[in-house]
Amino acid sequence: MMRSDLSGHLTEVQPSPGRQTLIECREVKKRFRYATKGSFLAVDGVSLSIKRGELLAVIGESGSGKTTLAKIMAGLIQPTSGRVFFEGKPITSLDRRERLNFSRKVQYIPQYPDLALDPSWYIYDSIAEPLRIHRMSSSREEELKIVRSVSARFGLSLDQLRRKPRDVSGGELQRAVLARSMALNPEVLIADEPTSMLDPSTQARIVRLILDAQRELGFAVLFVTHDLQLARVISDSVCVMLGGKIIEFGSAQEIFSSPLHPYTSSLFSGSTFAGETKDNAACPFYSQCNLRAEICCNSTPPEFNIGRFRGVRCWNLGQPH
Amino acid sequence: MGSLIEFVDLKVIFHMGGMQVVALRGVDLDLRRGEVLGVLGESGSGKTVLIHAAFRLLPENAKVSGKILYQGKDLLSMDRRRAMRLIGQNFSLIPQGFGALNPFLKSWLQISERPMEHFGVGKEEGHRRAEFLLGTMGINQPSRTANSYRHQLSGGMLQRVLVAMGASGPSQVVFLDEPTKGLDEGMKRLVVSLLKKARERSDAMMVVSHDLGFLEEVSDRICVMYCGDILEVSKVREFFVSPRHPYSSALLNSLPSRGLKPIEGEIPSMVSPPDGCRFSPRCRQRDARCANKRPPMKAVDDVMVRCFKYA
Amino acid sequence: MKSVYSPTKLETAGITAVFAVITMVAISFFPEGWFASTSSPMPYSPPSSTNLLGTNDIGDDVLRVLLMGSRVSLFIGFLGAIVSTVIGTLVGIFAGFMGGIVDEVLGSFTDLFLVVPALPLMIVMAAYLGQSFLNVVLVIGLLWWPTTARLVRARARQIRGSQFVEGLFGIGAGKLYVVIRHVLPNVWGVVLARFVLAVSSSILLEAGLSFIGLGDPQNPSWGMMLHFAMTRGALLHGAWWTFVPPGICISLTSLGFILLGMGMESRYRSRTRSIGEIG
Ligand SMILES: Nc1ncnc2c1ncn2[C@@H]1O[C@H](COP(=O)(O)OP(=O)(O)OP(=O)(O)O)[C@@H](O)[C@H]1O
Ligand SMILES: Nc1ncnc2c1ncn2[C@@H]1O[C@H](COP(=O)(O)OP(=O)(O)OP(=O)(O)O)[C@@H](O)[C@H]1O
Ligand SMILES: [Mg+2]
Ligand SMILES: [Mg+2]
Repeated sequence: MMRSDLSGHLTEVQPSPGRQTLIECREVKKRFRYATKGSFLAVDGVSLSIKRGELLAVIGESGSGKTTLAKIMAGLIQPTSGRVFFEGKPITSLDRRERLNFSRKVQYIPQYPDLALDPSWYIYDSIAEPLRIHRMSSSREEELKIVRSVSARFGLSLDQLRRKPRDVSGGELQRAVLARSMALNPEVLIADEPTSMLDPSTQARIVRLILDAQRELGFAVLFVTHDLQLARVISDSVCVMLGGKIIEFGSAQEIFSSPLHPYTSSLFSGSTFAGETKDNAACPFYSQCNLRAEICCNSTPPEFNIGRFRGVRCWNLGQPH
Repeated sequence: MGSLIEFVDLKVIFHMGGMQVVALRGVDLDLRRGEVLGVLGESGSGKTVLIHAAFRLLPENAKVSGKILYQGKDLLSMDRRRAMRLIGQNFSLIPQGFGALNPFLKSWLQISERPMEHFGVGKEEGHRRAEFLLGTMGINQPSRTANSYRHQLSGGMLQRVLVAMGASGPSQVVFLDEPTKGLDEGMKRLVVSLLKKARERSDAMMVVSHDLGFLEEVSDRICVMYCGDILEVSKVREFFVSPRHPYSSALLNSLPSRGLKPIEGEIPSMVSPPDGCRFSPRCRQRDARCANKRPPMKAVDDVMVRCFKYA
Repeated sequence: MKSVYSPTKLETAGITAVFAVITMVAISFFPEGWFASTSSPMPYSPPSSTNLLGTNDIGDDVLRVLLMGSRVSLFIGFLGAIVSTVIGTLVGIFAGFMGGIVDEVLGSFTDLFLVVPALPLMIVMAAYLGQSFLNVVLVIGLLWWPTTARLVRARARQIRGSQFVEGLFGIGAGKLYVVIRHVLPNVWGVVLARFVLAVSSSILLEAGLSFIGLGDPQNPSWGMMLHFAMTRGALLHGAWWTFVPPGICISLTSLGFILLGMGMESRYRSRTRSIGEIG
């Protein structure tokens, strides 16, 4: 795989099989039930793994289940079926110590920063809290030092930390949330649109910071984003979600240069138009696809693998074989 | 061209304990009849505070001076009850954060709250309208979304609920605070077309966004803010072709498509901001004057710029 | 940051009333000669310069009894409020936070107490437990918590479902930790407002219980004064000075606390109210 180095040239990224898988989910499904009636299948049989040193971007339209998947991977919500593995062990069967270890090494950055911190706490305390829970600092002074240095990296000064969340701007809060999850030196960062509230310059700065830290410490990043430009520039591999399924995945270069699934192409050309999806069609893109055939409506396309690290769920690609 | 809302030397200072945060440092800006004004700027530069000042939503520790003239009347010095009524009937707001949504109310109720309160729309009509609005914004199952609570919706859906809240009633002026965050390209285009439609119904709009592509598409003029100051106000074409202020061009260069190059230097602290031109410590074209004096706002062929380069 | 506290008119009235009672309590600790004379042990003598509020059936100075009574009434008021608020908060937090079966059990328990008519039950209990002022506190405490519990539960549930709590579990926080460090500070506003309201209700309930003779005669409260006035013929004597002052005191005190509590509640609500709700 290649990733375009930001300075311009391409750098060789280790081929994936050689690297250690940190987090993996197999066939996870999540069905939300409503109190009144009915239910909604938000994630529908997703298998995914993130390896050390890899930046995996998850893209896809709104409501396609990206956040739900990210939360399942971070162990925040239980999947209805399927399992999540951390360093080879299912996270439901971790013992106390391992569980604590998991919660330190895997950090989730939530999508909406304005609901992510306790409104009655000072931001400083919220950032220091993970350090306190995991006893990462021996004294208050050390804690102050860590918090100060990690927030300075995100462009926050101590006076901004001495406020409650409602007294800072949206972007400042988002940076505080980022600082909080980076304070623990995680190994896996599951970031759900971590730069949605930042101006381009600050966004560039934060993204570079994550990339640098990744290069230095080799952690794995799952990056949910709507910004295709950004995904193209920063990611090693990409998966595209639609209707709770991963309909295409592969290395970033391949996906962006030659998308195979009709949905992916229309996403890149900017021509997707969320219309009425026919709920009972097997392929979630059925109603908008101009290559649709009878089979697309009746049976779910399986994952057709192309090469070692490329998969597409579309009958058009599978039929010839 | 008449200006609909005029901010005159608006200063907002937050007092917190011993500290002062100068969030707006004397802002002069007019929102003209029939236009869409795009506002962009550094994170924490005072965009939201500017909007909240017009809605009189600032917290009690904010000291506000200056004027906000609407139809010739100053919203700030007006009696609070009267101001709130005037604001409620004529302005609408798409807030920045999802915290603005009440977790206990279904989303349709919040979308139709303003029409129900100020324009005598009935409950059923309100529900119907909310669903319709959500439908026009590309939500697949509008009735499910309309009947969901905050925690049951995805980020993009919540964002569209917020947009629907701003679009639900007739209003003369619409303020949008980052209406496209968390939306994919398709949705963004829907919001663009919605704005274009809403534009015919309302007299002016002010759109705050970090998404430059979006701003380029919807706005007529662009206003650039940095650290409580307005640095540049110009026509949208001009701005994207030849930005005048050094900050503007640096900002354009930090887009992912142009290489993801952040502006060098530290993000300034609002508590102890740099003297003189706030951008000067990070500016490549600074000279001796910049660090000492606040540059005046200067008109350079139709563009207002606050930089000594043009003084 | 704290903003300058600027009370509304009603709150000012409430605060004034509350301060007045506290002053009364303070005066009651002064040496006796300061505020009442003990020189004329004439029963039912009307207000005069020696006995500002006259004397009662056994020739005690009414002002003195009134001041002593303020201590008892306020003490019981606070104690009852503390007991009921503590129970209500604990039940509410656990029900709201744990959810599931705990919530259901505690919820139906709370509802049970809510539908039981409080006053009759209280009378039965007080009669059964006997006339001691601790019993009065207990009865008030045990019967006044359900509303508090309901309110706290609603808030705790909201917090439980909120994103930051989800995140806290994600970074390895335990349940108890979250309850103590995050849920409690966030329900604090509700609890405080409910506490102030509970003081008012306890004072009223205590007065009611004492009035019908279930109070503690050793430590006569304002309600007890009314009770004595009723049972010992003050009404027949037309000795209005023995029952009007305690009546006024009870009304004003509870009104004061109610105003204060309501002010706090609405203040709290408007603080947690979101900007989406502006009209
Ligand atoms: N707690 C919940 N209860 C019920 N439905 C839910 C819940 N959480 C999510 N959903 C539903 O699941 C679907 C997927 O939501 P999710 O948040 O994963 O989308 P997303 O891909 O992150 O979208 P976005 O880009 O808009 O953030 C949505 O239709 C949403 O309404
Ligand atoms: N209630 C408050 N008390 C103190 N300071 C505040 C308060 N609200 C905002 N500020 C400060 O005022 C400045 C401007 O905030 P504002 O919310 O307007 O930023 P913004 O331009 O909207 O930024 P963003 O793009 O990040 O949302 C920030 O530095 C912020 O920290
Ligand atoms: Mg999401
Ligand atoms: Mg803002």
